Amino acid sequence: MMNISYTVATVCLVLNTLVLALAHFMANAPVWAFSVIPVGLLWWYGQKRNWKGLTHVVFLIYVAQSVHGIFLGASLVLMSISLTASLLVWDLDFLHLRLQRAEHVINRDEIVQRHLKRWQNMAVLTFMLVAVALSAEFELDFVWIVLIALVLASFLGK
Amino acid sequence: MRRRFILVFLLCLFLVLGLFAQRGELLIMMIPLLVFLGAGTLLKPKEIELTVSRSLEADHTSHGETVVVKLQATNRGSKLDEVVLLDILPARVELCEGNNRLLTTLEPGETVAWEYTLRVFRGNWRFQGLLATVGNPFGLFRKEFLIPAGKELSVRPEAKKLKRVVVRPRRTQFYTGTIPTRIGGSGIDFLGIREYQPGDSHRLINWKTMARHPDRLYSNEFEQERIASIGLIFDCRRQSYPVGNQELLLDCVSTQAAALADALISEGNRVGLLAYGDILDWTFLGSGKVHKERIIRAITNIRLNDRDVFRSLDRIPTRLFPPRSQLVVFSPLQKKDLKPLIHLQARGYQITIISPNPISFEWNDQPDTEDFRMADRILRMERKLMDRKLNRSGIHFIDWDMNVPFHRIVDRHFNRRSRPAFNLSKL
Repeated sequence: MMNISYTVATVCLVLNTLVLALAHFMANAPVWAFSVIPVGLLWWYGQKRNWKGLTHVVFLIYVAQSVHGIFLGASLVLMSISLTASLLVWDLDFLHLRLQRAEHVINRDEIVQRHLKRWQNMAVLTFMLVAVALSAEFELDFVWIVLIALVLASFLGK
Repeated sequence: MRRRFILVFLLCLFLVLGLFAQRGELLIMMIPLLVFLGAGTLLKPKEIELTVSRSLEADHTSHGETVVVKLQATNRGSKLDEVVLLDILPARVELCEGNNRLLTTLEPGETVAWEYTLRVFRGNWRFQGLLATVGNPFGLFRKEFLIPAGKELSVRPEAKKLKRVVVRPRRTQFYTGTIPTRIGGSGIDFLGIREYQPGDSHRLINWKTMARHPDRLYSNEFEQERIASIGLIFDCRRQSYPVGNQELLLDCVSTQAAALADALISEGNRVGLLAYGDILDWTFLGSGKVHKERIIRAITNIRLNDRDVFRSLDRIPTRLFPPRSQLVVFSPLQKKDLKPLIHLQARGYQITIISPNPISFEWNDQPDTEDFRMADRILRMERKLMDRKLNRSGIHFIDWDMNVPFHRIVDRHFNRRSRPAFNLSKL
């Protein structure tokens, strides 16, 4: 089961890299598209070698590339998929690390299975919300922005 | 937590960038991050109700032995998706087999049991309890709880039984024991002949002497045998142990101190112990099996310390030991200790110093270089000089070569018939 989480993480990483490269390619930025691949390889190698600090750095690079893609005019759907996949890989890396650090784990399979199930539901919810956000039109006024900022600040304090 | 901070930082960045660049797409890109953060918040850990029971293979054991620790945790509260249970180990134990850290899920009412093996070292140790870390599955929030599961483990120095230890103190106690006092009275060993006195038993009359001197009667006189009061002083000052592995040397010395105390009490003597270096920790003079346990327990508790007040040996509270009694000092000794010890001897105490030689203790671990050989020579000369100074003052100094088994040292210095133990020749 441990291998399943690792396999899922690797598949998501490959998919994420391909999606991000494709989106950049479609936005007529082939140089940026190719630049995604070495970063993906670095993340994959870091996973294999258990480089703990690398995962945060590479995750941030992926997010930065997604944002950059938006500015280049890349597809928003592809970027959302890429960002969700990045989050998933980042989280599975952390799960892998937690399980490894504990050494003695009881119900290991159950932990991994539950985690993947949770992610399945979260991914579905994310894509539904993105679809709703794309189809509907919202107008954000100053009150909403202040409210969102306050909610975010409260997360830091907790 | 770092992960939560990264997420909130990214969300803020998306918000600010989206607003400044007037790009709604960036705000939509916040959705995956918000879902992740929201799910993490919903699955935030709540209070837990865990009960843990611990059982040890043995409540007391010997230095260097292994002990199996068995733990059983039961969840009396709500479901725990991921809980890390870390058993907080005492200071000087070594994990041999298994693991003291466990990650598991716990359904309500579910019990999880595990065990691990520890190698334990001298001391009285207390297992505090378990540190339960409940995090949400995404690692965004974490709460720690200390679950009490206390148990005490006493690890005694593994003392080998010593053969008979002969002491000849200046002053003995009233009660019958094994120490010859050189005073006539009831005893086993023949001491001499004296003139018959009314009241002497007829069995004591020496008939052979009477045959030579028919006008008088003579009685045999036997040597009284008494017990002695012996004070053990254990040096716990850190600076007295100038070696790399101080704890190991202390363990060696305490083991042999326990062996000597055991032998002395077995002979019927009254033995007291003063651990000098930490707070003044003493065990009053006493004898018998219960007192032997008390002394061993006190030796088990001995720790090295750095207290300024005990830097020199001149703070030894002499009131704890009867005047003119025998004192046995266990210490590697420092140069500055000579004066207080000589003063103590001058006050009438009979002192024997058993000094573990730190040079012999360190020798095996050092490279055989010219510099080291030179340092070794200098240090040995210093100790020789110390030995001479102390011997001149009437103190019996035993330079204990750590490569020689302690029972041989005891045989050589305490059990020789030719040389009365504890420096009687110098009285």
